[in-house]
Amino acid sequence: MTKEILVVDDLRLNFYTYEGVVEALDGVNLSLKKGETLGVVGETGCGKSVTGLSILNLIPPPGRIEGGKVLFNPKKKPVDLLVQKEAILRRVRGKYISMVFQDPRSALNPVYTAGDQIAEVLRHHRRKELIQRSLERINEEIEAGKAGFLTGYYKGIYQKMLKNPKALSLLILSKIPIVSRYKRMLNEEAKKEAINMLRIMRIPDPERVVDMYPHELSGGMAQRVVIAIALACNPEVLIADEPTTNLDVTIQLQILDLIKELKEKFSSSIIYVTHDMGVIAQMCDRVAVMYAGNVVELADLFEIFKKPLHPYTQALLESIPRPGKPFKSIEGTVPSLVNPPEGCRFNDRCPYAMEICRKEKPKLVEAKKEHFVQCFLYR
Amino acid sequence: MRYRLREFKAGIRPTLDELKFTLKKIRKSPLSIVGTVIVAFYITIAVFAPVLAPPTDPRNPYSIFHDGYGPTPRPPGSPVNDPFILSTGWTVHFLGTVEGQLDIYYGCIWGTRTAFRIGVIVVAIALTIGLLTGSLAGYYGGTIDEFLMRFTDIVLAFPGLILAMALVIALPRTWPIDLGFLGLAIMIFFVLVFLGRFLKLQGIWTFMLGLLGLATVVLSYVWALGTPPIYIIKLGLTNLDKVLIALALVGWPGYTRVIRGEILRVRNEDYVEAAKAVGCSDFRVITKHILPNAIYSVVIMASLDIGAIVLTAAALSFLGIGAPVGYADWGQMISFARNWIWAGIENPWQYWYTFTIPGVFIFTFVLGWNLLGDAFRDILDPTLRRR
Amino acid sequence: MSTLLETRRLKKYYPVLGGVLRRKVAEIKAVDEVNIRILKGQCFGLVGESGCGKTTFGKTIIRLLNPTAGSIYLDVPSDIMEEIDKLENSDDRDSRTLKELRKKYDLATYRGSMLSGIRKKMQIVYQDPTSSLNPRMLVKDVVSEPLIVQGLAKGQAARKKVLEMLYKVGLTEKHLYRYPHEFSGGQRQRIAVARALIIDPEFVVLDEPTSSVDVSVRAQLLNLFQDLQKDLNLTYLFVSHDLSVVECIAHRVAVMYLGKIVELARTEELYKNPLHPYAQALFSSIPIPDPTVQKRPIILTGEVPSPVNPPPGCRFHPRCPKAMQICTEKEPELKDIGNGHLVACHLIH
Repeated sequence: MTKEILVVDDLRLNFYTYEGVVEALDGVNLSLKKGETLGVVGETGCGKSVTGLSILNLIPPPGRIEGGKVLFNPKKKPVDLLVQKEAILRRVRGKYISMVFQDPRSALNPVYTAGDQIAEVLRHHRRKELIQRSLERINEEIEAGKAGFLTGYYKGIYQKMLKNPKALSLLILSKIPIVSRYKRMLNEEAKKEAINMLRIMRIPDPERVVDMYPHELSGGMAQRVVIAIALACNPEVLIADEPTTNLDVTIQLQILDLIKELKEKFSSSIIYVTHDMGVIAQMCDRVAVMYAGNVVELADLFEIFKKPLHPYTQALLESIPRPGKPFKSIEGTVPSLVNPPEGCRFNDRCPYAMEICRKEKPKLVEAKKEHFVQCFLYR
Repeated sequence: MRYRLREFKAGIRPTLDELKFTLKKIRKSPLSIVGTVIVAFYITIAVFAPVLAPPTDPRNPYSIFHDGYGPTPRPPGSPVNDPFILSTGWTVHFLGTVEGQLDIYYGCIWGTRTAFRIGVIVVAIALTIGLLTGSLAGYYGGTIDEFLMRFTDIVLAFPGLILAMALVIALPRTWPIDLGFLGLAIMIFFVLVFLGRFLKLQGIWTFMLGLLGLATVVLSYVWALGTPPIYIIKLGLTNLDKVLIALALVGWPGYTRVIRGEILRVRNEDYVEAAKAVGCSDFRVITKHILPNAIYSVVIMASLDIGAIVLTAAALSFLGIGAPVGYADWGQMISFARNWIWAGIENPWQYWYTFTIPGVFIFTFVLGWNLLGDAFRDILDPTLRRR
Repeated sequence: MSTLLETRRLKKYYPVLGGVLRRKVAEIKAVDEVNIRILKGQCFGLVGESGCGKTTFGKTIIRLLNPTAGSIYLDVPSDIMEEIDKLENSDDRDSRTLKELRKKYDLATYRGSMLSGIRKKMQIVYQDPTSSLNPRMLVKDVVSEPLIVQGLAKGQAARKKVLEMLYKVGLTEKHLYRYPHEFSGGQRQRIAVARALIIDPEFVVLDEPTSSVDVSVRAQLLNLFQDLQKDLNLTYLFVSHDLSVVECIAHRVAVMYLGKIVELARTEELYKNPLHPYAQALFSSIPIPDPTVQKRPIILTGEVPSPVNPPPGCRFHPRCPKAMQICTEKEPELKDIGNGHLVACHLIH
């Protein structure tokens, strides 16, 4: 059985706003297996984006995670990400779990070039590798006889960085203006690696793009840069939060194709959050359907599309506009999460609602093999 | 009739809801409560000034009564000596007296009224001019924008305090206004407005018409100066009024810039274009769609400005330009304390009450308006409002 | 069916100012010589990607933007259209009659009061309902404003009309005295539709009205548009980049690329059998919500070029998988290849 690399267990999230307490996530259960793409689909306000953010503990105040666990299992022992200290989380973000956001223009810092932003991630997480490469380059220079008089000094510094990165002398030296030029080599190596990443992203002419600012890039290219930043350190899990919603259809196709190819190449597992059922059908292996802060159905791709069990999933699939057929919509509106209804949150719109649905909240049960539903119809 | 009442109640409900929300927001921020309380406190003092400090001379309530002519200030609690003043009901100087035996308590209470007068009048004039120029510049853009903004830059180059001093010296004590020609100018203005509506002029043409009207008014006044007057009234200008005029004349460019910026932001929004698609005239678009959404920053700036203007006026009064001698004005009172701040080696702070008490009044007044301005920003700023 | 709206060689160029003296250095050719004809009661779909000029076209047609060149004819009787046709095709281009006819019927020449006069007949519904409603105005004011501005009704009569309109779009009297931010996205879009339709226009431009709402609400809005079209005898121009939605609601669809129409046909015909390579790539890239259907989508290379310097010849040739030599030299014309299917491609001609 494939290993489950990320498990979200009963995650609860509240936002404390002036209007009251918004119960954004009300016990979310997800599991991501190694090497698969899990699609999280739902409408506006269902909580899919904040689920992705809470996995990395990036929820801004007034939001607060009230309960649950996020078990991340890259090696042997699962680790609960919600109780870790900030220092450990910083090592996880970007290196083990990384995120791609919806709007590439606002995900990139407008005052730094694309290359700078990729290099920043590289310098933070793959520092040792870059130092080693710099050392190799210095050694090559010495052997080729092209050594300047500072090269020996640089060599010493880099060897020290490798052995004892937190040394006091390094700290002092890095702050003195002219002396800290030794960092230049590290930056060059980072930039070369960034160009390499851009080439993998199928960006034409990467040497030119690496020096461009985000506002000079088109939407598709900017999104590729964001994906490059996310994949720069070969993470185990990639959380993609609606990465192609703001892009044109043809560009979306290119990006989806790219993501599929990169998944093979980097062997990551992806959590793909979107509201577009078409994209889900193309990209995902398993699908989780969310409604009003709960995962209401979690199953294999074909099961969800061909044999949906939860009434909401069925209604959602029926409401996709098809030519020639009359448009079917879901009655009612999404309930306000400040005063969520008692019991199952879908009960006021569900065509099969029973008495018990209004009183108790159903739990996520395994109705068929590997097909989980949260509904009293299947107990 | 009942229907109308129901309509009215239904119409008021969302405004009331917004008001309730605003009050809740105010309650949440302690500094805003402090600001509101301070300003409310000063408003009460200003309103009830005749009750709190009954004037000895009902015709000139702003001139502080003086208990004799003695040069040394007397501490708080000193009894009143002058028989005439005793007869009006004053028995003790609550907060002491200042050089020349002017009562500090009386001066501070009536000074509140002066402070409000200064602040509100200057800001009102500056706001009006600023709104007008800023809206036109922001909405029409192009050459009008350039023209107005360069004019604003010129005005910005004037140093306010020095202009105030210059105006105090240069302007005459009374200003003759020829009512006849004033009436004529106003009539011409209205004729032009009706002409514009009649011809259903749009946009730029109404602006041109407005400029034409203004030019006519100015030119006719200039021409009138050389002809015999029709009916002149003399408007008395105290030094304080001249200071107000000066501050208003240099205070408006700030508002122009802020409003222009906000309008540039708002006029690209979809609902403005939708209003134009429905057929709204430029005037309606500006007044009903753009300004209500662009006015927040200006309101905040105005409330902060009231405090700043009062401070400036106090500084000018301290320098001697501003209120006439004996006028109830905080800056005036501090100027009287000039010689008594340090009273020698032994017991140097003997006359602390002469400058501290009016100073505290100024300080808390400005603080109150500043906090209120901050509170307005937190409450009204649409981006922060819905957090 | 009679023609409601017709555009002839419609152009909208934006000047690019540069240099020290801010002179015109280049032009953004947002809409470049577009001829379409929309029949009465029809829903005409206009698809394309961002930057192709479809929104600009929609706004230019209803004179929210001023066209740089070309003509727009709204509801012109057919005999007068024939006369204009005759005069234009003859050598008498500058004849006085033509000029007079144009001044009377060609919307592109309208200025001032004539322009405000036709606002009644054409309206627009915007993409983002949050920014298209004034956040400081009550719903009642938002929907009654067109009536007041056009001088059609006031006070009590206006309120009655507003209520009627709100019922038609599926809202109730309770919603009159509320601010837009108290509603959901779908409801706000309905308010925008109510505002557009209250003065009884003949022609409505729907600028991506379903793009910023959820999938389940999309169906509600599409139902609403169809019902209202039948009810009030409206003609729509449905601009969208969402091809699946356009497929369901439009009768005829045109595909735009970089300011030009590359293919135009009936909906079923176009979606089943796209002929232009761009249209083929576009339609093959729609993600189908059915995992059993495996398509081989055509992936285009490169990015959409900027409309400031469109490529010479056929504008699509740098990305076209089937480009020939002639495509780099001559621009293809939009020609009818039979049963109302028009294509602009050298391959087909």
